[in-house]
Amino acid sequence: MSSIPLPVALPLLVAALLAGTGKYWARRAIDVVAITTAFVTVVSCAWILALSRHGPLVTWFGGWTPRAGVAIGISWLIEPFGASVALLAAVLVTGAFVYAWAFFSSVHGHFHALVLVFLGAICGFSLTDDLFNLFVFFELMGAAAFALCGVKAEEPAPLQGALNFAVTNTVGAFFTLTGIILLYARTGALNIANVARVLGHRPDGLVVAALVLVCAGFLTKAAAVPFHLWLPDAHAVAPTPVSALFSGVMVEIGLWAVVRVIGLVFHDALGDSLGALRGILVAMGALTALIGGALSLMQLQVKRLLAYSTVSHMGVLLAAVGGLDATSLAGAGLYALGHGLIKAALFFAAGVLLHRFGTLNERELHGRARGLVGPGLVFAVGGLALAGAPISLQTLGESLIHQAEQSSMRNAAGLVGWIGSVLTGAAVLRVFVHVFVGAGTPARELPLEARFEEKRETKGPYGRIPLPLVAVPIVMLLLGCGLALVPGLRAMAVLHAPALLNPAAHASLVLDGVRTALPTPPPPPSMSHAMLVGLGRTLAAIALAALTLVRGRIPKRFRDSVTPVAFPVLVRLRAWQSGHIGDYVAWLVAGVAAFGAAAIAVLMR
Amino acid sequence: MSGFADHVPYVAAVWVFLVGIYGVVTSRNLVHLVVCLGVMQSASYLLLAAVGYRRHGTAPVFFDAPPGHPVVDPIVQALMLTDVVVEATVVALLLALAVQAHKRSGSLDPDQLRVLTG
Repeated sequence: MSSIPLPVALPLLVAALLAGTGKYWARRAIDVVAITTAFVTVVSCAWILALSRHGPLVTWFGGWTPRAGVAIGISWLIEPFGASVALLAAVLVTGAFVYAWAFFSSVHGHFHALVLVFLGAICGFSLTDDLFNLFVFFELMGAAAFALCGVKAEEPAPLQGALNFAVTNTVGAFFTLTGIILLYARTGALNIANVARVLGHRPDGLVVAALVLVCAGFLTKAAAVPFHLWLPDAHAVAPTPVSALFSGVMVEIGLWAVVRVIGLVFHDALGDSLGALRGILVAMGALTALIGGALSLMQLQVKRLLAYSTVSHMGVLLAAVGGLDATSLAGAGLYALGHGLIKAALFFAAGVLLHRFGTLNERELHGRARGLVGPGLVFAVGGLALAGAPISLQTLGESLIHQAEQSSMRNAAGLVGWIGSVLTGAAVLRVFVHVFVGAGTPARELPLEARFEEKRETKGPYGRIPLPLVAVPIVMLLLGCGLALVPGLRAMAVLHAPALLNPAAHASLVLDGVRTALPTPPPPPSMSHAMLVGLGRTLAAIALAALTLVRGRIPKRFRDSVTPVAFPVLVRLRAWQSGHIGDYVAWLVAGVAAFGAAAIAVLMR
Repeated sequence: MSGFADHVPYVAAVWVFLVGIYGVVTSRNLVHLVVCLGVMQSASYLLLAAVGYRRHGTAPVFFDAPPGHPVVDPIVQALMLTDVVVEATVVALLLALAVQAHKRSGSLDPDQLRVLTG
């Protein structure tokens, strides 16, 4: 039990060491130390996950256990969902360090230090049970992420991306802090269990305002529409291993925090109004899924395409999480794990293209990557998995999410989510066929094309692609698909999910030390329905990709009937992403105001 | 009158936030933008100070005052310090990016950074 802080302490200590003395070390020494630290963190996160498999555990720092039911110290809650988020982060960081071994020809020690700080902050964030501790780890992760995004700030695109990212997320974090302050003002406590216990059972204006504000910052990180505008800029211009980390685990963190806060703080306080909150979150998620999917099809820059696809899948996850019931939370957790691994694999494979050809523009890459089998395989299988093919953890998650959908609104949202994932799957498959096979009409120049050149990181003669660059994406993809074969994952998720929505049981565990027995969950549904639906979506994605590839051969009258209607809408949608910081912040504030108005209108009866 | 005076810090916090956000949204200079971001974050300090105040409370130091004497809430002061440190880190990072922007293009206008659109 005393080594529970290890996943946070070890990366932070090694990061301090590397930041302080890194310039006296050889490059390979820094790489080896970083990889070893990340690997040790993987092992300790796996151990923590094993510790929590029978139910949540609580640990108090400094021995400051609660006195008379009032929390005075800082506690961590070790439970399977949080521990798996930490494990996912550690695995992705290990992969990123192995990838960076070969990807960067010259990198300073501060890159490794920043990534280790990022890892330590994520591990702390996913295990903590104290609101302000959560905020501090959130800001630490954010600061490390801003610095990592702008690591190559000598070029204009990463500079702009990092600025947009940093300013937007700082405004979001401010909203979260304000919400936490309001909760403290009302309850006098910062420990999640204590806050929930004192909060009462009727939502008044302050409670609703606190809910909206706290979720605003986390939804900004999770890229819900209209808080998503920073994501395509930031993920497209960050160095490739960093983009993989961002899309793989950082956006999921935002949704994980929303789950923690709504489920364990506000769930009982909202009482009957919970259904209305569901409606708002599910609508937001569906909109995000659709917009992300549509915009990803219109991108020619591969990493920006993948970034929009992340937005879309986060929309699907938000719609699932917004259901606020145990089965859909369990499904969302598995979906997030699968999506994180597959998206990271895709980003790593895209980095190979940059490494080899110095460009990530689909037009310039047309047909040039015919000989690259490994990355091509990753793109093909990854595209199919994103579309919903029953080959990955995503499908496991979807089977649970489908089972949970009851109301007509959630079914409609589910349908929209499927459309979004079909669109993103089609986009990735289109990239596969254009770049790795060289078939089909070359992608057309669209208005408002994001024109920026990404410089390659390595110089010198390019012979065979280094092994780490090929192996890491394949390993990530195998993990994302292979973990689906592990027996009992769904059962375990469904067993532990109800604890995420039960503030009373959580409070009695944390403050009184009384453990409520977990009820035996119903057996998970059979996979056949989800597999059929997934197969259908895969076929739809393949058909859509084929449609874009034979675009030149479609009879003109069909094109002329669709294009004048669809094109202006799509162009306006793209123009929304203007690249100007002021616009993004204005949309963020307007979004929070709209969310707040909707919440006050429906939650205060 | 005392009812109104009780609400002034909260109104001031909202006002400072609005001023900061207006500055960030309409800024034409990156350094100005970053400072406006700092102004916006000061709204949370005001809010914290308002939340922590106790009528007739002194500073939370039990040296002269006996235990049991009303004091203002020390936790919000700790939160405020943490908040300031976090803001200082982010502002330093953003200013470094602003310096880079100036070095690259000679201009600090956010409108000049138009590489990423669509």
